[in-house]
Order: sequence, then structure tokens, then C-alpha cells
Amino acid sequence: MNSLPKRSRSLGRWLISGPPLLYLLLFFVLPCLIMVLASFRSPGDYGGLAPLIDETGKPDLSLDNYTRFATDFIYTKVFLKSLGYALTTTVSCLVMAYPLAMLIAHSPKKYRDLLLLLVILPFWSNFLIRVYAWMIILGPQSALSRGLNFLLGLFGIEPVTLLFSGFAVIVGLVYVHLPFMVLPLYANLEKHDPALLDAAQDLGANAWQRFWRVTFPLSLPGVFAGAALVFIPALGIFAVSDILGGTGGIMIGNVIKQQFLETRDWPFGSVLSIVLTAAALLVAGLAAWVARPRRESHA
Amino acid sequence: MRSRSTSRSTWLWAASIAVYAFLYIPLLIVILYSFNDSKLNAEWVGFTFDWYRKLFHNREMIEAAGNSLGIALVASFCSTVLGTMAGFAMHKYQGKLLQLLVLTPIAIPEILMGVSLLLFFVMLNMTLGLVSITFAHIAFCLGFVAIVVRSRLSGMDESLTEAARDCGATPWQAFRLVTLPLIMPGVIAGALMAFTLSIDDFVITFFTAGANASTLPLQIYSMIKIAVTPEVNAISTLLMGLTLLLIVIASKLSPNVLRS
Amino acid sequence: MALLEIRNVSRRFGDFTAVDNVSLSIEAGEFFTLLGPSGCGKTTLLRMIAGFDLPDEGQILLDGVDLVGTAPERRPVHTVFQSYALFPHMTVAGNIAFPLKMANTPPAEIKAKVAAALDDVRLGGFATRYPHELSGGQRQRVAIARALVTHPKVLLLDEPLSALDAKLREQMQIELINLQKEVGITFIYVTHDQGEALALSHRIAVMNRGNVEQLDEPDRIYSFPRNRFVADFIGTCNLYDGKIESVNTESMTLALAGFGAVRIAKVEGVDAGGVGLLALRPEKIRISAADVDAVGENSFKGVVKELLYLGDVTVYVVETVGGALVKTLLANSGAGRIRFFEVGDAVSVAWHVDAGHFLHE
Repeated sequence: MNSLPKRSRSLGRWLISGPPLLYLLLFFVLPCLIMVLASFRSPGDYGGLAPLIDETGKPDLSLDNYTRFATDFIYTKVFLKSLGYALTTTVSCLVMAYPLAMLIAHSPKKYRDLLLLLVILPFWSNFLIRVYAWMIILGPQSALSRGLNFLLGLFGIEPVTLLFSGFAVIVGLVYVHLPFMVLPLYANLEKHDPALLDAAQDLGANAWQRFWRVTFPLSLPGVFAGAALVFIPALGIFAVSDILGGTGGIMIGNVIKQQFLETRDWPFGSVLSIVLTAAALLVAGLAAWVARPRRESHA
Repeated sequence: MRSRSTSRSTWLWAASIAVYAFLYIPLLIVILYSFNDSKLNAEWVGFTFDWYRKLFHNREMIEAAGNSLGIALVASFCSTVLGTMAGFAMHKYQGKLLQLLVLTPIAIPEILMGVSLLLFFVMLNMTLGLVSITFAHIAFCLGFVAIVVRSRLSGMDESLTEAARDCGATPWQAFRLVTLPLIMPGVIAGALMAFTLSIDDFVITFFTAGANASTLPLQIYSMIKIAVTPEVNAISTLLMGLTLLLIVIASKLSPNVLRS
Repeated sequence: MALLEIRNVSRRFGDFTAVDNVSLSIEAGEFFTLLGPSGCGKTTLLRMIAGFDLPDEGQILLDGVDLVGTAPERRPVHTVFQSYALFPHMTVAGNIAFPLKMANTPPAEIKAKVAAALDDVRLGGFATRYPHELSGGQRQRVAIARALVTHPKVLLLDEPLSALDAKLREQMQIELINLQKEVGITFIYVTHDQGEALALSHRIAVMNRGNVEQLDEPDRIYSFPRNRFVADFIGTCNLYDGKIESVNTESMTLALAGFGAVRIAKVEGVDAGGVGLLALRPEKIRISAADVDAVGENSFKGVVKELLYLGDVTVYVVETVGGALVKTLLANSGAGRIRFFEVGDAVSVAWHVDAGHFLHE
């Protein structure tokens, strides 16, 4: 609004945006910068960080930690494995969420909010509880495990442990992130014009073709939005893999936690975090680029 | 609704019900076994309230619950005030910097904030504890409140604030008497959301709590890792009930809070 | 001195000039309208008077004082918004009391003034209702009451009737005229509806692309449009390019394509050889069966090409022998008789020498 003299306009603006801006600069940007700086430093004798200026008076900075990450393949392996888990989780969520989102989008209006609420409700229970629940279900004593192993035993196959494996981690990841896929998909599908499907049917398309050639392409922005909302958090998760994964399901998040709280090699932990951030931002940027508003080339 | 072949509908329904079952059965199992008269979460033995009773005598648990509550109250209040300011500024001035700073903490994995805040607090020589946790919680709750407030503001008729100015109100009066009452449901929904996020938070709290402070999620975590008893089930059930209550309140106030 | 003076005001948004060096004087007590198509700058100008926008150049003087430094809440100028902008969380009484509260009026007085304002717009029993409980017309009246309750010097109205249906709009137009007379406050009205402007205003400023094309009383704008844009925008008009052939003492003769020689009243400032436009309003052209000539009139023969039956009148489009198209009106005054002429009929169109208006741009 161009209605006040310039000086008081800026003053108002700074009064309102100032406090949150300052808070975030202090408690978000600054810590991130410190982390970047830490990635170039050396670990202290008892863990943590070595002094910035060492005894000779020179700043103790080097690329050692980065070199270590690049050369010690085990870390890259964990990272790639995490990417794999996140990808599997995303695809699984997509497959499970799609029918649900479609159902809700096609339901009569008065039921939609209720159905959505039912999807979101589990999400609002504590995150740890949701993971813990799978500990129970996949545990060796559970009905599922014993039933499964009984079946396998019939075929002479060795019993499998469901818990403390990559499989358990993925189940946990899917369970925790499913609502994040349902919501954007639903938001997108809700806006589809039913007349398009009628037109397609009128022109001879059967049910599968209608889905694959009309509904799915139009839903891609929702798919990508959901995918980003699942992939990025899943990539950086550590609690799920910590509780359900045991030694078989370690993700990059676990390694970072290890570095910071157990090994206490903070500089190296920072490097790992930065790599993770870079990956997350890359995916986020990709998702934003794909979802950018563009001219609709199809009706 | 237009006609669709019934077989397709049935398939859709079946798949959806399967997904809903997938979502709810694990939670129901947790709730169920909280009443199970057995230490193992394996078979149903008998009905009991024992685990709930044990819970209320568990001093650590109660202390953790108290901490969680205290932190959540302070954090939700502060993040609501800051978040409302941010949401308002984002809506009115469309500044890129503020938008970036507000939205990024929500977009990146939580562990990154946790770890960087740990570094930050240690560098300041600050003892990790309830205070550091609170600061951390405010930082990530802020964004959520801002988003809710901003979406509420964009749904509001712009000409109302102009009309208030036209009637003789200063910008502050216009905000206080017209804008604020109209976005208040959104602000309260944001506050409730911040409260829930704070009570539930695990990852960021894990890194910024230090050795001594404990919150409910941290307590649950250590119970899961060290000695799993159905007390965990009991506290989980209670927490679920609490969160459900808060959601119901929030959605009554701001029906579209779910959409954001 | 005029109550409100707009001097050389310009407002640009990037490359786009919304208001281009506009100067206007508005007298106290007049019903002044800014009329023009969307994008012509009328709303921008109104917002600058209200204080929600600042001019890039120029001054806006109220009683001789430049308003530029004054915030909107301190200007004795109130606005009736297009969407009415009633505060949904306050009652009707609360809405109307709001400006009084902002002016620190003592509570006892507020009650009395709100009641009086409601009576003025004939909404006496509605004090405790909420805006969402009111109809469009009622909301509009509350908006007007709220804007008038502190007796501003100028009332700005931004297309207030555009959301109402035709019947209600007519009613409100009459009410607005009476209200303005009663209250005596200067109204500045913005609309794109030329019929509305003609009906309501003491004076109209016709705007196009940031400029004022013509500023005059409604009947003068209608009968003597200054250029092609105004002639076209106000009502329907027949426009013909012509060249002056000869100038006499009382009249001039034009050469009009499709007609031939046409006589018009003498216009100052042009000589033989000058080119311009002849503007002819359809209602001033008489259509009759062929072979009717009269003294002092221009008369041409032609054939009815199209007709449009509008209930009260029929519009005939006649093609003259020379090829020009003439739009003319004929009231359907014969009871039960729908049309006087059919397509293809041979007719004669005629108009008085004084009926045409010559524009030289």
C-alpha cells in the first residue's frame, strides 16, 4: 500500500517481520552456518570440536572430513542405502495412497472431511507410538511372525525375523509417512473435472485406459508434491531405523546420530549432515521445479 | 455422480479399506495390549488396569510429562506470537527472505535442525536442558503457525482493513479491531498445532535435551529401547486421547486447518 | 474555490500509466461521476482521493490543503466500497458505530447517531442484525450509513450498485439521488455504466486510458460529445466521417460518404476543407415511409436492413441508397402493433439540421 510516507511504512514492516526474522536467523540460520564451519574443523580430544584457533595461532580448518567421506566408501554406501529406502518408501506410499485419495475425492462432499480426518488421525498420535506398534506386530512373538514362520516351516524354509531388518524399517517408514502422500494427492484429484473422464469414455477408452491416460497424468503435480513430502523426511529419519532396524537397517540418520552422540566426532557428523541437507534441498528444488505453474497443454 | 462400473468401485473400496486397516490396526493393537495382563506384548492374557496404575506411580514418567507440558505451553505461546507476526508479514509484504526462512525448517529433515542446534548451544556454552529444548521447539513450530495464519489471511476480504482505515482507524487499530478478530480462529488453530507438535516432538528434542532433561517422547523412547513393558502402551493410549481432543477443538475453530 | 481540486495528478504502475496528468475541480454539494471502461483509471483516482494510494505527481487539494501527507484515517473523506466491506464480526449497529468510536465520540452520543443514521437509510429495526443476515440492497445501505455517520466532506462511491440486479439498481439510483440532495454532501461516484452516470450526476468526467476525455453536464455530454470515444461510449451513436464543403451564415454543408451533401448547424473554428465526425443520436432520426420530405431537414432514402425489437422501441438499421448504415429508433406506440417496418421496406430517414453534432478532433 502506497499510502504512508516511506519512513513509517518501512518501520511498520520491520516491526512486524523483525522479531520472527531475528529469531529464525538466530536459531536456524546461525546454527546451520556453525555446522558448515564445523565440517571443516577437527574433533576435540574428548569429542566435540577442537578449538578453532590452535596452539600455533592458526585457524584449524581443513577438508579432511570431506575427503574422508569421499574416500571411505562405507558412508557413501549407507547414504545410497538410505536413498534406496526413501525411494522404496515413496513408491509404496504412492501405491497405497492412490486408491485412498481417489476414493475420498469421488465421495460425496459430506463424507470427504470425515474420511480425510480418519487418514490424518493416526498421524496425530505420537510418532514413537506408531513405530512402537510395528515393533509389536513384527516381533518374533507376535501372531504375524509366528504365523508366517509356521507357513514357511511347512515349505521347509528357515524362519525369518521380520523385526530388526530393512523390511521392518521400510514398513515403519511407510506407516509414518502415508498421510503425507494421501493429502496432496487428494487435493489434486479433487480438482479434476469429471467431464474429462466422461469424454474419454465416450471416445472409447476403458477403465484402465481412462486412469492411465487421463487421471494419472493430470494427477502428476499431486504425485510429485506427495513424493517430496515423503522422500525428504524419510531420507533423514533415524528413530524408525533405530527402533525397528537393528543392525540390518541402518540409515544415514543413524550414522549422524552415532557421530554426534556416541563417537562424538562432530566435524565428521557435520559433513554427513551437510550431504544430507544437500540431497534434501536438491529433491525439494526438483519437486518445486516440476510443480511449477505451467500452461496447461491438455484440456 | 456419474455412473462407473461397479466392479471398479468395489476394487477401490476394497483397496481403501485395506489401507485404512493398515493405518489403524497397529494403533488398536497398542491400545488393546495396554489392558493386557502380561508383560509381553504377545498374547492376550487378561484385562487389567495395572499398567495405567504403574504409570501414575512412575516418577520419571510424571516428571517427563510435566516437562513436556511446560515446554509445550511456553513454546506454543511464543511460536504463536512470532508465527502470527510472520504469517501477517508474509501475506502483506511477500518478502522472499522471510518466506524462505519460515518454510525451510519445515521442508528439511528434522535431524538437521536437531544437530545444528546442538552445535549452536554447545558453542554458546549453554547447558542443554529444558530451556534449550524450548528454544528449539519455538524455532520449528513458528513455521507451522505462520502457514496457518497466512492462509487464513489470504482468505480474508482485503477491503475490510481498508474500510477500517477509511472509517478513521489507525493501522494498529485496524489490525486489532478488524483483522485480528477475523483471523483469530486461525491463530488458535495454529497455537493448538504448535502445542501438539511440541508435545510430540522426538528428534529435535533428542539432540537438544542433553543428559538430564526428559520429555514424554524421550521417556517413551528410552522405555522402548531399554525395557519394553505395556506401560508404554498405556502412556501411548493416553497421549492419543489427548491429541484427539486437541484436534477436535482445532477443527471446530478452523474447519480448513486440515487443508494447510 | 472548489471543494476538491485534483491538479496534474499522475500514477504509474511500472510501464502502465493508470492516471495521466489529470486535473479536475469538484464543487461542494455536487454529485460528480467518474465514468469510463475498466482500466481507464477511475478507480485509481478514487483510491488516491481516499488515501489508499499516493499520486506519483500532482496534488489533491481539499479546501485548499494538499492531502498527500495525510493518512486515509485522517482524511474527512469516506468510501463506500464495491464489496461493501461490512465487518462480518460486528452487528449493523457496531459497523455504523465504528467510525464514531474511532473519532472518540462519547458513548451516549454514539447510540443516538447510529439510530439516526439507520433511520436515514430506512433500516430502523436492523441494529442488532449481522451483515450475513442482510440482503444485498440492505448491506449497501448499511455501508452508506457507516460512511456518512461522521459527516465527511466528500463521499466516495466505488461502483456500489454493480452487484445488484437491474430492478433493485434502479430503485437504489433514485434513493441515492434523494439521499445526496438531503444530506448535501459532495458525492464522487465511479461507474462504468453510462446510463447510471447520466441519471445520477450533476457532472460527469468521462475517462479513457488515464485521461479525462470530457467533463460536462450529462445532457451536454450526451448531445455534444467532444470526440469519437465519448460519442461511442455514451449511449448509441451514429458516427460518420465527413468533410466541410461550404460554410454559410447559419449552417454548413458536409460531404458525408454514403449520403452526399448534409447540412448541419454552423460550428465555430472550422472552415471549408476541414474534416471531422458527424455524431447523430438514433432517437433524433425520423424513419418514415419513402417520399416524405420536409423543410430544414436532411432526408435520405434507403432500405431497412435489420431490426431489433426491444419491447418499448424498435431499433431499425437502414441502409441508404448511398451505402451508409443509419441506426434509428421508433417507439412502438401503436397498441398491439409490433413493427411498423419490415426488413426490405423502402423508407426515408430524416433529421433536423440542428440534430447532428460535428466533432473535429
